[in-house]
Amino acid sequence: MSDLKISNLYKSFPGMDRPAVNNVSLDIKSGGLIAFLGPSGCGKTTILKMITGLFQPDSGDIVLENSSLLPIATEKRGVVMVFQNYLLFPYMNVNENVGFALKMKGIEKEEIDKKVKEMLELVKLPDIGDRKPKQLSGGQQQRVALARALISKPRLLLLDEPLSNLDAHLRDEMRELIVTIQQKLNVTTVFVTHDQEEAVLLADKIALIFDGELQSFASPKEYYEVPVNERAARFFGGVNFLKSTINNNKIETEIGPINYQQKNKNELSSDHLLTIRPENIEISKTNVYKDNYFSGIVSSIIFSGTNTRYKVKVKDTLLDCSVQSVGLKDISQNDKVFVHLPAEKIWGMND
Amino acid sequence: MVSPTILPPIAFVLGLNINFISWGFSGSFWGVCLVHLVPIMPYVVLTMTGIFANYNPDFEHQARTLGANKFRTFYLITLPAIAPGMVVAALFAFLVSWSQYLLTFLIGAGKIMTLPLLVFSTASSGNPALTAAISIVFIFPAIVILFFTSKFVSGDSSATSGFGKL
Repeated sequence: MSDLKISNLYKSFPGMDRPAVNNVSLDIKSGGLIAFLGPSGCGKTTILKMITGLFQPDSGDIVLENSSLLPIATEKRGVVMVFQNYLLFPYMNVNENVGFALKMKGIEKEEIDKKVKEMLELVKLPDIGDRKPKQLSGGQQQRVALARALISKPRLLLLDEPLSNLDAHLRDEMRELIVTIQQKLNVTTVFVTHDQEEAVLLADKIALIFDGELQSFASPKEYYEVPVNERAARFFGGVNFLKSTINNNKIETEIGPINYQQKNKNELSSDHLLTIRPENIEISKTNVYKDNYFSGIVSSIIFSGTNTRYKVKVKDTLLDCSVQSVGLKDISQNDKVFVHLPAEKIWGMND
Repeated sequence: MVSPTILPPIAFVLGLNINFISWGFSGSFWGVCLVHLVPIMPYVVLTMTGIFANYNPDFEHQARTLGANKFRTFYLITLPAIAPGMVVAALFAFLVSWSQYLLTFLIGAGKIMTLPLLVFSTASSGNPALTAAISIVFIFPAIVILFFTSKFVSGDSSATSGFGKL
């Protein structure tokens, strides 16, 4: 089974005041579809290049299927990479591009032709074998690049920003294709992206990396519901952060006392941050709530289709609330409203 | 590396000739070849620099991940990409060498005869017809090379468009 284990990976480049990759450790189970997510320059592509062998880490290890990749030359690692701009070899046609990996293995021509045909059908491009890469559209080029990468049944597939170059409807198609093929071939796949939506759509688990350091490695849902720190929460679109203090077992926030229940209460320091997702805040003109209610003024209303966003000013804090537009209450700007933060939807984090 | 373009050959060839004589290169074919490298170098360096500036090394890494070792990568991926540039550089080198007078004259010490030397000697011996004939032979490769280089490098140029599909 192609389990990938990254241990204490460390890499620095001259001229940078911090290491590009700082003590990153990850355990990726065979057959998983994993995202390395982070803003540009956070080190995620560097980790990928160390897995393929373009760079050697300063220290740490990368182990695939129980043996270390580091002493093995790139061409023998069984790790293929699909670059962001596909890099189809311009002097070969599609058939030759896709069959390249098998040609390197020395397999006979008939066998290669057969397998190339299979792969092209798998990516739904059965008739373009004789064309040259410059005659293909962007979406077609990407499918060919995928076919080329998977034809030799690699142990590990690495994708660099697979959906970034595509427009919206192509993205959906490509996403489905990647997920279908990945599951069908059961190949461990890691992709790198700066787009959290892309990561959430594709990945089973997301490794969030800021400034070369791993923040957390968790499922997309956990990043939404229980983010590990404020920066991670913001990266996933969290917007409501309340400074809080614990005083004698009571929680005081900048908008008033709050009651909430959650499992990590013991790990929180006395001064911490509470967060709640906009869609979990309830609004009403009259106070129908028993606890965690605050009164405020509606400062703006934005209608965005299925949801309507209300910004409510409570004391000095602006709370962002998102309510389903169907069943819209008759609330207008500058109205006085009550907001309710349900205890079970509040999450606390250390700063 | 590109200084030979601003340095006239006379500036270095006399000194070099003394060294070549002591090393035994004077009057030899290889000695002339060696000294021709000096004016040729800038053209080759500049051409190849331009080629590599537009070259994407990620292609090589892509081929490596697909199972190609360093030699196969160079042969299958790198060479086809830089081949047009190498051809142009080679043709420039040929043209520069083809038209060298002073260097061949001095280092060759009269034993190596090239077309430029022949043109000069027939011109100074007062045989205009022969001089004219040799001159045409001399110019001919340059024209042919320019003609085909423009087509090879850009595929589509004003020099060849008049001939339809070549």
